[in-house]
Amino acid sequence: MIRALRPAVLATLTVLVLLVLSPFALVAVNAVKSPDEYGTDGPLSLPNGLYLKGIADFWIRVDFGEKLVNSFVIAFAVAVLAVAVSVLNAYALGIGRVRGRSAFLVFFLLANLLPQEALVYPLYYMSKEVGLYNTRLAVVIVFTAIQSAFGTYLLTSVFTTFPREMLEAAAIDGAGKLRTLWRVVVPISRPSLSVLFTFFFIWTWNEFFLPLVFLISNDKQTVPVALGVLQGDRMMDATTTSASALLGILPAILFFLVFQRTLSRGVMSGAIK
Amino acid sequence: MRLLDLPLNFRRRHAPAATANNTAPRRAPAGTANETGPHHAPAATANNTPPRRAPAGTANETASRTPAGSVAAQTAVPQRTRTATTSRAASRRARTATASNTAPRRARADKAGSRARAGAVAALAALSLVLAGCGADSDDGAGGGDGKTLRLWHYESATSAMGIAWTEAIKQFEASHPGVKVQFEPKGFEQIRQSANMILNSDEAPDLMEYNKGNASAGLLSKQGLLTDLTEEAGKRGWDKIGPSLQTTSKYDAEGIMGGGKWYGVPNYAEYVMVYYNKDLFAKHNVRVPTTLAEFEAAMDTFVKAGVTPLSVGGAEYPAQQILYELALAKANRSFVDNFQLYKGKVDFKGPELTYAATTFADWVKKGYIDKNSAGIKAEGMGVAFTQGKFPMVVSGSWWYGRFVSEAKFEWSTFLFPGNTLHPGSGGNIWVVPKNAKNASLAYDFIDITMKPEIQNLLGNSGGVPVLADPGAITDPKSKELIDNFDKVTSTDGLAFYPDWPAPGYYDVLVAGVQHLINGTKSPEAVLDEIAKPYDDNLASLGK
Repeated sequence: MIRALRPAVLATLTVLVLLVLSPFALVAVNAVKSPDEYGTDGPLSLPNGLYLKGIADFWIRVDFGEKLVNSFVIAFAVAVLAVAVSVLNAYALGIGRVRGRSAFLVFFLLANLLPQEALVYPLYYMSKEVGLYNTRLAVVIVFTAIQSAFGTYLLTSVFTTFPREMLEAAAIDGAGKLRTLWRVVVPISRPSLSVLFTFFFIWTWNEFFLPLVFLISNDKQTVPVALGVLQGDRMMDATTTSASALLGILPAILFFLVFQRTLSRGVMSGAIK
Repeated sequence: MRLLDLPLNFRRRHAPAATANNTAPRRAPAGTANETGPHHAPAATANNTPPRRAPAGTANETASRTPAGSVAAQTAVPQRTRTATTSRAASRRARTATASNTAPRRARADKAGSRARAGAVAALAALSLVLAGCGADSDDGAGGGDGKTLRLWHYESATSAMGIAWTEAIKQFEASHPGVKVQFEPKGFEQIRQSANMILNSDEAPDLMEYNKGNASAGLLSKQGLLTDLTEEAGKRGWDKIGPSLQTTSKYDAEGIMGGGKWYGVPNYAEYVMVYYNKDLFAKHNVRVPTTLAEFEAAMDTFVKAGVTPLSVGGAEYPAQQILYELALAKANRSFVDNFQLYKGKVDFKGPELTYAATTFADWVKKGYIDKNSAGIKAEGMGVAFTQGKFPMVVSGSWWYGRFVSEAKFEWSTFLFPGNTLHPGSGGNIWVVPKNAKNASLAYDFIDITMKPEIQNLLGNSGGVPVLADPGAITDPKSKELIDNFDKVTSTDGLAFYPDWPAPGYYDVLVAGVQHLINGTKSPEAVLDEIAKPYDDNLASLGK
């Protein structure tokens, strides 16, 4: 019975995979098509040859290398800082059992639930007041707060199940609070932390709205913001837009492939005792 | 500190057991901050995303006068003065804190961090220093009012008519202003649309930028006091020589409503809606260029009989509503336009103009002039279908011109919507000088150069519609035709703006209404009721 079902399942999965991949395929196909060809054959035709000028033009026009550096610096800094902040918060809330910790957690969760549009004006004023408007540092601070709110929420639930015996053993060995954190809690929860790191990095990398508002000068902009440059008032350049979309998703895919092992390890960790 | 090695080696052995039972870090399900924001979805950008033309009221722009918009409006005005000093001081501080070489610091810090808990703190501190380094150059971009830099932003692509003309203008500006550097940054339309009021309210404002015309954009900023009043310069430098309907979108009243008395912007190009036609298909089906509405319908009948749908229409975006508006204008005069667009009098949605428009539009769908499937087509799809030669005609704006020139591989030409003296169209987006511009006089000089015949002629010869060109100097035959038609329109004061301008969010109302007409899901009367309500609500909120 099960054997008989196998081809059907396989076929369904193939169709689903194709559905998921089709937008990417469309982007890839149009990225290497010349505008002429796009105009005469439309978006669905296969390109006659490799036309890489669209990609090259886009790269030069927005100085894509610079955008990559900006995105990387911001995403990496946020990932590191947000993980650090999350660990400290979660240590207090999950292991330290601070009074009123569920209230704290709800508060942290709020930061995640609020739409960014609602945050924009207050953040804008604060950053302007302290002279950080139009700086990457402002974006890093904002996202560190937003991401670590989620990180705190998640890690706290991880830490509440942390074996008490181990903490007691550390205490008996004479470790203080900080040393317990650094030498016991962090090493043991490293898989969770690296998953958080990866997700923070990718999430921050893909952020569009706040960087769009906060990073005004072109030399400070991130990759997703740079992609928006091509969208004109009423005209779009379909082939160059595709080229830029392709360039825009490649880094995130690369990063994911590099950290894929970490991810699957982190997700599985603790699944079997 | 005491760094004696305590028996902590158990950490390796026990490592896997501890961490969390489950929870693969998944984003909290309901509307987390990150997911609700307008994320940039690469896949989506490939095929659609509306090139939105509407100056009035796209969802995010909520116009000045609605309650929702006025929150933003009020919060955006105050405290323009204080920030300049504080932010510069702060960034100076940040810079001194950074020290010159941040990289070695970070490397060192990383090593230290893994050694001990104190190291961790050090690593964090070092990282934040690195980041301060990122932030420190915040005022590099500002020219600082030294009269040596003109910071210029616009969002036209480099290959468009405006892009070509303005690149030349930059060259001429630098030649005529020795020692002055133009610091040009190509911007995204979306960024300017989303955050113009925030940028202009800070000391990051450029000296000159292209901005969207209309009540909800330039009008709103002028009302908030973020734009420089250009009335005096316009008179002195002769920018007010452009036609009266072009001036409408440059001048705003105290409420930020266009058609007012003060110049806040200067249009450098214009746009209007016309009919593009495929000459090859016209010849093949033996159809001649129509000059009256009756001839136009007869021509479309010929195509329908031959099994060809005559009009390529994008029902999901602006094109369909512009056809509806063309039909209303066929029966309208200037006072209808003034009433509808500038609120000078009452608009009767059941009056002859709009009734004719809606019934005729429905009729055109019934007769097969407009495909029943076009309700879901976007503007981009409409244009590409025309360049593929699938349709003999498309009714749309001059913004397609350059694109058709380069992409259509057949003979094509244009004519004005037959029989109309009024046509959708207006001055293009405008140059504005922010109130916080540090080099406003350079900005005026630059605007002046773009208004010079040379630059205007270049704009015209590159496929744009100039506002002050010398018709004799337009040598490109295709461009000449485009500009001659435009002159025909302006000579009778025939620019009627766009149907979605009068109320915030009206664009979507019209898209929905026209889609009902295309799908046949509502009668023309019901559609007129549907589009009348938001219009009247807006008037009521304006107190008119």
